[in-house]
Amino acid sequence: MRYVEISDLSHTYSTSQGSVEALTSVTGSFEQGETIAVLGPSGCGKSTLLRCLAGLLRPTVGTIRIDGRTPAEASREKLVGFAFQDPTLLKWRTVTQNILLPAEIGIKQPDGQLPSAYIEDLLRTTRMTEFRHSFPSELSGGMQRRVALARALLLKPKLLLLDEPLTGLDLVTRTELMVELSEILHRVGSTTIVVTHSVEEAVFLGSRIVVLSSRPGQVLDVVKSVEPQPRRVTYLETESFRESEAACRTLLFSGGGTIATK
Amino acid sequence: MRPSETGRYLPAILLAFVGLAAAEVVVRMFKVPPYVLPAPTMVLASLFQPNTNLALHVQVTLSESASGFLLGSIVGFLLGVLVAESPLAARTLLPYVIGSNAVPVIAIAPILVLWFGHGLVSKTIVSAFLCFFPLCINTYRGITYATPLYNDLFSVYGSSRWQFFLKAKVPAAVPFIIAGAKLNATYAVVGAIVAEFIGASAGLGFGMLQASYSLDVPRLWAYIVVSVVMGMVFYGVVWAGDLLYLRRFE
Repeated sequence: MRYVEISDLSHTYSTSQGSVEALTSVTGSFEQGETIAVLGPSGCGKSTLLRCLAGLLRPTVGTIRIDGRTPAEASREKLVGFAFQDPTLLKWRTVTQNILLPAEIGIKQPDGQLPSAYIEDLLRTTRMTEFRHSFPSELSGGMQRRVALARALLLKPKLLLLDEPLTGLDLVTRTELMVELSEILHRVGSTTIVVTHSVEEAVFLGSRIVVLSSRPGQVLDVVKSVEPQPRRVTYLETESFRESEAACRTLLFSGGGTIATK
Repeated sequence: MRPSETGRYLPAILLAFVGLAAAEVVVRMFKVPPYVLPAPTMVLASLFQPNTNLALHVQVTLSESASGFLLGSIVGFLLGVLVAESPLAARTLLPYVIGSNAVPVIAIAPILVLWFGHGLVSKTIVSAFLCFFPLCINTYRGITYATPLYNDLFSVYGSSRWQFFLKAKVPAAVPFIIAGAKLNATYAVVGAIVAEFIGASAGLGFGMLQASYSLDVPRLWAYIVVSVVMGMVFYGVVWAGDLLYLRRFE
């Protein structure tokens, strides 16, 4: 069943230097529960695509439907969870208080308070139980990202948007978190769109990888990654992984982009 | 206070003792007349002279500066919120807010005393006049700083403007507000004393004038020292709040 449908989406920013076309004629649809990786070079409009999906930007041209709703309607109904590139944790709130933020704002859920067992489960899933009373300044970069992910998952979103969820982390933390993320996404079952400029992350996390060209971003092709979810770290060493990686890299270079492989 | 905090300020405390001891030695050695520079022990002794009337003057200045601090800070905060939240208000009011900071308080104080009389009200208003600007500008800066940082996060979850204000903008502005309040802690005392210079029947400023008219320089210095201590105590109260609140998570 198609959960997200994007039709002929284009977005142009007006700047002091004139108009900058970020995305052009992006069309695609994503199935319910599917994990899609959007891969492209820096500045190709990946984040713009996510912001349009979250209702934070109104596309210049084209439409988006999330379960038949506009992005703004989907946000109002809290169908969307978003983990930003910067974790944007509120530094005066503890880990638990940060995770609970989406439940405190906007239209309150009709079933009232979230059961504490669910919060416990979320903390356990993101391995933050031990740090539940810590403040963001007391956490490492990887932990802050896990808190941001837990916050995005709090309201069991039907559509989960992850903007460069592993950027800026060291190799070991990044690989660990990538494996954890695959497990969490599989367990949660939300339709997930992960934006990244790393070929490795895209191939590891996505069941399909949408490859965008350099600015203005347009879909070059979609690469399928058939390995079942959730993926283990050993997947990184398989022939299938290397093939998908090579296919993505070829597309990226044909689109004129410079890419990150780590 | 943690031992490390006490340790941090030990050099400043030592400097005060060294400075006072040096002044005492210089005055005694060169027999400096008290009307030029009284010895610190003489200043200390004059604190307890009956004509110094310290308790009364401290009580009056304390209430004037405390009420000026509160009034100025509250008005400054509310005005800061208004100009941060409304671009029209910012365009309309900010030039006047900035201009007000250039008004010499010594010139405006007689006018305010004329309008509001010699009592607590005029002193409070002069003190508040000095205090509102730092709080207003810092609140404005704090709120406008938080807006781009958290706007997307709150928008995604359909936050109302009020929720965004209460849950993100105000808490994010607290460090800026505390920084403004620290400045105000000393400005409030200065404002009250300047107003007392213009017209008062009690207070440290009134006492300073009386002492200077009678060339009682040790007593004049005693009032100066007490006003400095009062400003530092105010500062200490705000600083303690800063420690309790901000150090939890910073």
